[in-house]
Amino acid sequence: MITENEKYQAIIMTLIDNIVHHTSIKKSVNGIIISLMLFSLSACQMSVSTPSNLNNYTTNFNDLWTIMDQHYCFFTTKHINWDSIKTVYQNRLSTMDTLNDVTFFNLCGNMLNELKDGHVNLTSPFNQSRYWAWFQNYPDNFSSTILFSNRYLGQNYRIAGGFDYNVIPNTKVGYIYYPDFTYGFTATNLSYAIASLSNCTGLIIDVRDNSGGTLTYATDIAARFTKQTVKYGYISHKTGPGHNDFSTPEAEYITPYSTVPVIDNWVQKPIVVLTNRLCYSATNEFVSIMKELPNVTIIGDQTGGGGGLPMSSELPNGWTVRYSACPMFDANMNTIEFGITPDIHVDMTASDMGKGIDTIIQTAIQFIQQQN
Amino acid sequence: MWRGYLLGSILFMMTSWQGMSQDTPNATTSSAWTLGYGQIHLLDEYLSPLVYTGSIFRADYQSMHYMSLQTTHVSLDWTLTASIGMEHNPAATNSIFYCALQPGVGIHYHFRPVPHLKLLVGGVWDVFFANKYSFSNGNNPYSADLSTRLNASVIAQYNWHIGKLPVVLRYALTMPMVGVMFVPQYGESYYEMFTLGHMQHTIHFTTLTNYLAMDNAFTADFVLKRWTIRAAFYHDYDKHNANSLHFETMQSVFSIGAVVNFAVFDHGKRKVPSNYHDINR
Repeated sequence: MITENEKYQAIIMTLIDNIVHHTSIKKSVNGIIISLMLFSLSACQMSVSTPSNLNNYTTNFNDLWTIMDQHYCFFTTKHINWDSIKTVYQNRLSTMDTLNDVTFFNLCGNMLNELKDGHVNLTSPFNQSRYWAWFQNYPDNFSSTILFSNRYLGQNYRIAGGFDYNVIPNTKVGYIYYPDFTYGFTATNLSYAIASLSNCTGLIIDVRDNSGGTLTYATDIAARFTKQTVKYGYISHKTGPGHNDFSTPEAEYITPYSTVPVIDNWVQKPIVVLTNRLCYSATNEFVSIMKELPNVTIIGDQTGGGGGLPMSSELPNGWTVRYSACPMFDANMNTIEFGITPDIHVDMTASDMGKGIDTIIQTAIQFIQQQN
Repeated sequence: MWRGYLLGSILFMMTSWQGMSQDTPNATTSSAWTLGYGQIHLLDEYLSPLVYTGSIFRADYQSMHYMSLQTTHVSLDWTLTASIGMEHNPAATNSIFYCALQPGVGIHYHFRPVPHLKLLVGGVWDVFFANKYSFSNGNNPYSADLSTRLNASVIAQYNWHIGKLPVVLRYALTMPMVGVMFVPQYGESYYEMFTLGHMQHTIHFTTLTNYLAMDNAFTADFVLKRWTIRAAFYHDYDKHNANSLHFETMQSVFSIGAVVNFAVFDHGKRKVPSNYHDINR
């Protein structure tokens, strides 16, 4: 028999047990939750910090050198010893008499110009460094005054998108001038320009003084002059910070825009692409593509190059740096960084220019007339 | 039992959006909407080696309901986070536009170790998609974070009160365990990836070694007479690396919003059944 007293004692003991049990569980649970919160919050912090002095010249110099060291794609191709260049310019930095933003910028710009690359620029709020020797040391081979004279484009040429086009007077040769690969155009623009010249016996596409722009425009134009898929080159990219960390080059192709009669018309006729040293970057790639088409002839001067697709980065002080990042090659895996050699090399002569004649266009007209 | 829940959750997911309130007349759902503003730190080595800092607006949606009337232990969650922000480099010479979307669905088991305290342990499957656009870069102006993850999820919920005002305090931690993510090659341009279709080595399996992320959410639900207000603090951290590139994001956001607990009983006759289960208890 359990007495009334024992019953109360048992109830009280059970209650105390429950309270003690719950309290210890509660403490444990609370401890676990708080630990979890503290751990997760302490772990959730940025592991990379911003430099304390953004304008420190040594920091910015080292960062610029490192960005180029890890991302620039032509060290091996151009046989450049980037470490020794660092040593030279680091010494110059440490011994500069006057060190301010302008002198520091000039020093960095000069270091970058050792790469001899038109795609490499340092841009600050007050200046942009550049390497222009790829065209400045060569003949212009272009005169807009002559081009827009009545002998060639004249006054009544048509404009479609970025294309200026016409039939060259007193010939059956169509002429399209595309001055800039940043000038946008639609498929319709291109169709009209090409179709309106379809009765010509040949076509000149003039990309002289065109220093590049959008790569896809190059393939968009070239796709109008082939009935077959054509391999025109390869492209690669860095896979890591090492100078030779590159992906396996992958082939690039142009596919025919369509098989309408307009294209059938042009694959049977001679097409000439006119070039000079200012053909750079996307224009250089365009010339490389067109060179793979059987009825296309390149006439003029060697192109300027720019066979590395450029990308950008920045320094702690906010200056931006552009560099060649993805090397591009022609269909035979030759780099196009140093330009495309024309099939027929022609320079504009002073005597022709004096007579208002564009020697390169004249050569192209004669070439097309000979083909017919 | 778990197989049953899994099957049930899949079936429920297929029907819940449209038919939840009609086909399961006694189901109750707690839904919360919050809007917030805060700070974001962002490092994307594909765009820049520098940490960008800026402001972010964020919207969160969360719903939770028991998977069936036969249980008060297993719930199904739907979550959606959308954020948009603008960050600037340390020298304030360039900006990155950021926007992200993160839908997810999860299942939790509810433990009640002590009165007023509920522990939810479970898993969340989500998709994370963030766009980053740098205004100064040439051929690499854009970078995308794209991943799908299986997350471990822990939620602690404590029913408290301030005077006579009931307050539900909640802390939730979500952490991806495994998944798949997209990361561009070290120096590969988006032109190569998406125009030429060269996508090799851009998809990576993720574990805690290459993808560490913790989404912390602290919320306080103030239960008023007719409605419930939610105050929230979100602290999300995401660090992942692949292809020799490092990405990091940390955002801290204060949000405010509303919680709605809704159910349709007996097809709208408003007769509360005896087996009604409140997800918040």
